[in-house]
Amino acid sequence: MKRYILIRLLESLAAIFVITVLVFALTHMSGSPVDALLPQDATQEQIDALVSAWGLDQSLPRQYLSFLGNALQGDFGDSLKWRGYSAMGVVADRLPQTLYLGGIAVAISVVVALPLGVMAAMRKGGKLDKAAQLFSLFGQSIPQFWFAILLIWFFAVALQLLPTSGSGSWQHVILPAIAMAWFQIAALSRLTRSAMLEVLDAEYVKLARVKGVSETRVVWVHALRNAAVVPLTYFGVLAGSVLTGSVTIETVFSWPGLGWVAIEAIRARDFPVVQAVVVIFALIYIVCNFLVDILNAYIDPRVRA
Amino acid sequence: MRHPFINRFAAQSASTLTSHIRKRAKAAGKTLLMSSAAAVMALQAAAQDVTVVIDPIASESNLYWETEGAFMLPSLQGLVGNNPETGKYDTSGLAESWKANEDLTSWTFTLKPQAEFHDGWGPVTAEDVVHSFNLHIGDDSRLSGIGNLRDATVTAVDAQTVRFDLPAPQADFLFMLAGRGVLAIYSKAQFDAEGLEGYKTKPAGTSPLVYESSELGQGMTFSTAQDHWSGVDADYDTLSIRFVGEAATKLAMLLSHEADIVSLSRELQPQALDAGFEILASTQGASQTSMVFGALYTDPEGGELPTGLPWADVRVREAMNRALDRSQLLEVLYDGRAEALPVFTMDAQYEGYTPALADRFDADYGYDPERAMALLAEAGYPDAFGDPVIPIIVTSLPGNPEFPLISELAQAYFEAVGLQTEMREMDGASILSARRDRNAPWIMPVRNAPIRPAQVGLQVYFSKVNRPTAYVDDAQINSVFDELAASTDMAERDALASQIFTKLYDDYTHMPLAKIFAEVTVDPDTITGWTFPGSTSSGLSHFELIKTAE
Amino acid sequence: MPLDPQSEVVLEVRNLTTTISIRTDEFAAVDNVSLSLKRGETLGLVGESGSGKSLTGLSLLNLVPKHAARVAGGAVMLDGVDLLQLSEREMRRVRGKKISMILQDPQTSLNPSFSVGSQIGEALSLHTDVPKKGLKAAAVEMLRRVRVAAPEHRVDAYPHQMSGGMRQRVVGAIAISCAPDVIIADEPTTSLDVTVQAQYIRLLQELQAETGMGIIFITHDFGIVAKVCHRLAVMYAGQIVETGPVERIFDAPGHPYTQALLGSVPKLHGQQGRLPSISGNPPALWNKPKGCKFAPRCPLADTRCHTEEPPVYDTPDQDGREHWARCWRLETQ
Repeated sequence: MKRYILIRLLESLAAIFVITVLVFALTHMSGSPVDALLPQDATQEQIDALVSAWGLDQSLPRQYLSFLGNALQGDFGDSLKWRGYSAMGVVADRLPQTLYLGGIAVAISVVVALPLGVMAAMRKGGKLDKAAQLFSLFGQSIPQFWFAILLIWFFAVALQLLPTSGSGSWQHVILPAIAMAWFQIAALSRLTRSAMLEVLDAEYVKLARVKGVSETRVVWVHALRNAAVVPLTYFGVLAGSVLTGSVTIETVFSWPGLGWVAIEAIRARDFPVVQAVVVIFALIYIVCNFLVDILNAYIDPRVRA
Repeated sequence: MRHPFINRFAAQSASTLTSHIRKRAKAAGKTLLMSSAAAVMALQAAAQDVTVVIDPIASESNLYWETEGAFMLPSLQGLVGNNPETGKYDTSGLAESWKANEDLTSWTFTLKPQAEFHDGWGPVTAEDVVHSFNLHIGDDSRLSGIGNLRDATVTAVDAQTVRFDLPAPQADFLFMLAGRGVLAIYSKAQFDAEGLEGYKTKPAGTSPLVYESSELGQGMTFSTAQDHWSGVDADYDTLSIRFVGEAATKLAMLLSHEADIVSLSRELQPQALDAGFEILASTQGASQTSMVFGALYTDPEGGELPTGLPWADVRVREAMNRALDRSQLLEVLYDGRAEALPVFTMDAQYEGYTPALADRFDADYGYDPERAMALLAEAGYPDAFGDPVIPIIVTSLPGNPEFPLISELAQAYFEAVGLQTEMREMDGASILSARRDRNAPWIMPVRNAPIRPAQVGLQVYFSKVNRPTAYVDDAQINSVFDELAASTDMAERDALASQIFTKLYDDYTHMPLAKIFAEVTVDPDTITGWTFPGSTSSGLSHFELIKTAE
Repeated sequence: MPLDPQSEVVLEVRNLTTTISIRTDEFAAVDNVSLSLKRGETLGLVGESGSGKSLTGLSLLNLVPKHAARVAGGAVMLDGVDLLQLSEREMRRVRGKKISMILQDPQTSLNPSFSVGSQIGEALSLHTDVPKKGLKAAAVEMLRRVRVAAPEHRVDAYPHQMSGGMRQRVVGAIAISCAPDVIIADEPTTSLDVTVQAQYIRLLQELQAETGMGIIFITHDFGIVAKVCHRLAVMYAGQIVETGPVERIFDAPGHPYTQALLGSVPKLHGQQGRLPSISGNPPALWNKPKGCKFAPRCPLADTRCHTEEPPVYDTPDQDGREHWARCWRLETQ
């Protein structure tokens, strides 16, 4: 188990390294960072200041090393849009909002999708199963931002039950969380269903029944414990898609989280913040997947070996 | 961030849905909705709260000099104001009068004696101006245009009088201090007591609107001063400015009556109009649009000159101008709510305005595909050119949603008269990079340019001062521009600017498109009017003049 | 090992019919099956695959696959109670406690996510009053009874850490944990290699001797039948076509199908033999012959065999033990 964790930890570190290289390359992608970072009518002094601040006159490997050194200390420079904040300061300030929204969205997804997938599998071919499949198709095929707009239109404009956008009260989180969870529910319930179907046919499920175990326990303990590996593995993907989803959802709902920061920073050409957001997104994603791997090992004894 | 098609798609689906939902809502419970609407209105009558929704601003800070100057807090004021009707400089700012010396190097302002800061920070004095000036020219200043002020010396002559001494004449000095200003007046007393922290948490301003709070990325709130020293009292109690980026969300806020005034993108305006909302426009033009011929360089002093460009031939340029059906273009782009523009950077509010050009515009630039084809034949197009293909840039810039559409329409018009074209997709940074390398030989729309004094606009787009990124670099224009920059005689300046505009016009140096107005979509149930000149960067100003329904 | 003739009947199956539904039609896959099992007795249920023997086993537990199949009729009397009349809830109290089953494949019949100890303990906690704290010790005891070495150590192991033979013993331990009256062993040794097979069969016999449980041994392996079974029931196309004492059937098989099955098994108690391949295939469920189900493959079939279903002909041995077969040929004997 220790060895397994160590290997996964090393893999994660390697991924983080690759990401820093990518983020660094990002600034050099469209020619000189000067064009990406400075406004059109930048003066020569401004350009010179940037060149010396970023060490742009040095060799690329050297530039990368100083970038990496700063990044390791969480220093991506100062935000250009939110004056007076460091780039990482902006990110740290907004991160809790994204975690709050994402957490609620994931909770909704799990609470709805797992039972839905399990029950659809138990009644394969039944009405509930067909309804769930239709729901999945719907959920996975309509664009997230469009669905978000539908929600606003229906609940905020037509019914005037909830606010259209913004944050502050518990009412504000409902629509964005549902919009974010929708797609996940679709994907997660389908995965759970197919995993459960496979497991429910297994001999050990039959053996549990032979032992006189109740059907509820057969499904929710014997079968789900084994089927759970699939949705759990998907959980890592889920974390990623909650993050990318936050970009759309937070923009549509003006939810002041990291995704919103990403878009606003890109709009304002606030490169230091964009870099910080990308790195933090990547870190969250890697940490989530690392945790999923550990959890997998915990649930499935075969992985540990 | 998103392809315009998707925006349109979202807009359309949203519209179908609204009408559907509205029908259902009507069927479901008309009375219920009406009674809740009545309740909302009753609430507003008790405490008038105006909510204005705008795009997120480029940089958020209560310290004005740390921003690019795109949005000045409505609670702050500069020395000079703009007339809400005419857009001309007026005394609605903190100065009651001003005068300049002969050569325009020394400007003296007399402050209004009754002007005072909010929250009891005392009267506005010359010391406050000097203090604010020093903050604005600090190393952390990012104000665009602050360079014009950096080398000035500011002296408090007495408590009510302040003098700016400049190293060189600045005919457009008032422009710097007015609506689109680079100098907002902060309270020295507050700074002495609380330092920058005080400004960051609650900067004392001077206008009829009092800063209350702001929430990063979400918006800001202002209350209205009672019996304001200026004599102008807003007829509502609080003003909330909210930042929302997504167009459909803004529309939803309007439809759900969460917002009273929304800066709505043009694609969504028709739906708001259908739903009974109204559009209010600035009294004066706010910005201009144009397309330019890249690399129209003829002054060898600027460096190596491009060769073989089809549009180096003035006949081709005239043909391209005449290929454009401007009235149709304006209809498609701006729903007709725009005016034809004879010369990009020229405007009636400022120097050099030449009415004759506007009069002749239809004769010289009017839509005439036959004439365009004849001109092209005369120029020997396409055989006389090594590479007759005209590259058109497609790009998307925040704040310029019409860019891709302009490029697409232009391509259609050009091809209709026999021009060979090619669309090139490029991002802003790459375009800028190519222009810095003086290697941008292509046709493209110009970023919506705010209307500014002639010299400022000409300098950016059409003079050697802005080499290598200017679009036109012509020896004759450059020399007249030098004269203009040096001149302090107002009549002479006017003539020189007019001379440049005429030259730009006669040579078909660009494809001017339109003068457009700053527009907001308002809820007529709560907002009855708002007079603003469109002279600030955001186009919005004079928030205290928003008139609300009783 | 001989069976005490005075032993009482513990399980009595009468006219059990289980149908499989294909689209909207139902077909009898277990067709009017009657069986009886005495305490301490091992009954071999033999037939080709698809003959309905596994489904018969599941029907006894009323655990046929939902939707696809259902027990349509008959009675399964265990200790005087008809299991088919019990509610699902009552039936759960019988399963694992009074009647249990050993599944075919030890590789897949243990839950990979739980330790073997907890899987043994689960049955105990459901059906006995062993306290929660005592479950582990009880599981160790069960492992010891199925001759697992170092059971204290193995009790916490997961299935994937064990060999196939050891896993099958664990399955056996689960089956016997509540001392059931009847165990249905569905080809329990098929996937084990030969030496392990022999050990496992010995284990089952020892356990039977200890507890006196009745075993229904489902197999297609006559070699094993000869070793472990007292009596035999031969299934074909959902029906029992012949039943009787093992030696009697080996010596004088009544049904041509039995004869064909025995064709390659040289002699009783000899080397194990596999079912020989008989030419042709068993009939499809939806296309069963009108007369004798075996007629199309039977070398001795005549016209009547093809048109009329043969009745059961009793041919008891000298001790009066039951032996019968379904074949027209017996009419003349």
